[in-house]
Amino acid sequence: MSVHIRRLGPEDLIMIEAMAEEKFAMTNTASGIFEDVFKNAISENNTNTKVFKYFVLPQNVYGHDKMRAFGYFDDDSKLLAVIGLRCLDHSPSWVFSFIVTAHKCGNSVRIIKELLTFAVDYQEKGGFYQWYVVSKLEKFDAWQKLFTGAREKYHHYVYARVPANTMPKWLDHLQFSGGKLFPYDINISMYMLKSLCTSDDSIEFNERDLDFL
Amino acid sequence: MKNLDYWYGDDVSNKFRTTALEILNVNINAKTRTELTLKEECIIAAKEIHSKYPNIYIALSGGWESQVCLYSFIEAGIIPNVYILKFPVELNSQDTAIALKQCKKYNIIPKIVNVNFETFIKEHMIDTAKKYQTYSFIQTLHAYYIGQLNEDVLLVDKVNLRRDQNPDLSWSYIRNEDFDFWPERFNCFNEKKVINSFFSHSPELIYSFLTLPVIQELVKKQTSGKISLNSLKNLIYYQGGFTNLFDENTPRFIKTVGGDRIPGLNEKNSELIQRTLQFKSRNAYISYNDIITILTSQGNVCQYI
Repeated sequence: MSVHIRRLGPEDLIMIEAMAEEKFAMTNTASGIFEDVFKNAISENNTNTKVFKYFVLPQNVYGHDKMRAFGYFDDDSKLLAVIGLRCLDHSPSWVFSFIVTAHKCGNSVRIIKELLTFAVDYQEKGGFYQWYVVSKLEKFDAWQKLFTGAREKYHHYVYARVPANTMPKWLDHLQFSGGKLFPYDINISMYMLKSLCTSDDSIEFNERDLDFL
Repeated sequence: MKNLDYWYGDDVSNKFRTTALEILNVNINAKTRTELTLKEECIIAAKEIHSKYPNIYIALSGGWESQVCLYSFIEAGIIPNVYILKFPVELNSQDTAIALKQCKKYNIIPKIVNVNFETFIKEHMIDTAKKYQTYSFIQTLHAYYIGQLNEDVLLVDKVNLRRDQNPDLSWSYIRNEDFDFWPERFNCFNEKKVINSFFSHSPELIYSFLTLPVIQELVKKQTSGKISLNSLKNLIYYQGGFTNLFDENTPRFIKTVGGDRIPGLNEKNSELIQRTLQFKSRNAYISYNDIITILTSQGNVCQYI
């Protein structure tokens, strides 16, 4: 099966909502690892599948490009998974917003990883070299595993931890959760692209290279 | 529909934002007649506002805009009521001195309200911010004290034209969820109204301002900037026809920005408010070229996320 991944647009909204509604109706079939992730996915404004429209806004909406969704399709053009992200307003970085896989998705972890790779590459081409993930603290290890591939290119930091139902100490932390408090402890991870120089040990330099004045 | 009216989602009566993700709609009406000079448009605005709110109080800060607004009322043959907020320990003494001087010039006895920061912050700030969804300390302060005044108040707005890090990097006309929109929310609760649409009273007034020669020169510049508290405003109003009020010899206006003289007063309390509301206010950017097109064609509803 070949891989079909593309950025989604307003015309895809009905398909996304239908896939998500079916998935949420069949939550019991979701993998144990991602069960809470799905709850997380729709929690940015508590309106269930209605949240997806913000990620595929038409071009006449100012800021329509701020939120982006990418879809994974099978050979029959059936949507198998969607991930969404939100670019931050005042820095070249973005927040990983949600993952939803279809009820009959198959190897969802592989598909999610391929979608993630596509999205990260897409963002890099647009000059976004830094991104954040908000995850339930007790599922942190699972999230770490999901992003193993990304850490080959990216430094990973624990940016913040916010206790359940607690207002973060710093206002900026709220921007990662979309202004929302969670009923459980959360972890905010930061991924920052490794520069070519720090990731390549074979590069040699001499004293004159440092003479930047 | 009212010029520069706003609402959230699909319901035009919905003035309150409930989540971080919510579509903000801003309606811009088109011109229906040929615009006059800025001064003439301001006088029309003064007359129309006064006819609707005959006992309205102008919130006179002493800044450029409030002086132009007061002068427009006077030129329209109206002696308005004036309301001045006086901060403690002379924090806005320079501004209020200008405001008082203006009142004296036109034989107006202003209503002076003394602000008590400590009581306001401890007892009223958060409740007021939550009620009216004011995102900043200063606007929350205004909302509280105007509520106490219990009169119709004209809180003078300004034409906010900036070129900063908005997506298009273009000179843009800006409306903000905080200072431009909270009066509508205030008016949902109160019989006495807050009007903050003097310089945005009509499409013709906005157009007249935006097409002044000095503004047309400004928007050609590639540097970041905004219409700020410098001699540019002097030139704007001079070109707009307020030659009696400001001329080339008018001393450069120095704003004391009272709240900022207490370290953190404004910033820390604004942050506290925004943490309570759980989101920051957004700016609705309309690029200069777009707003000129909208004003001269059929109007438009702009949507923001």
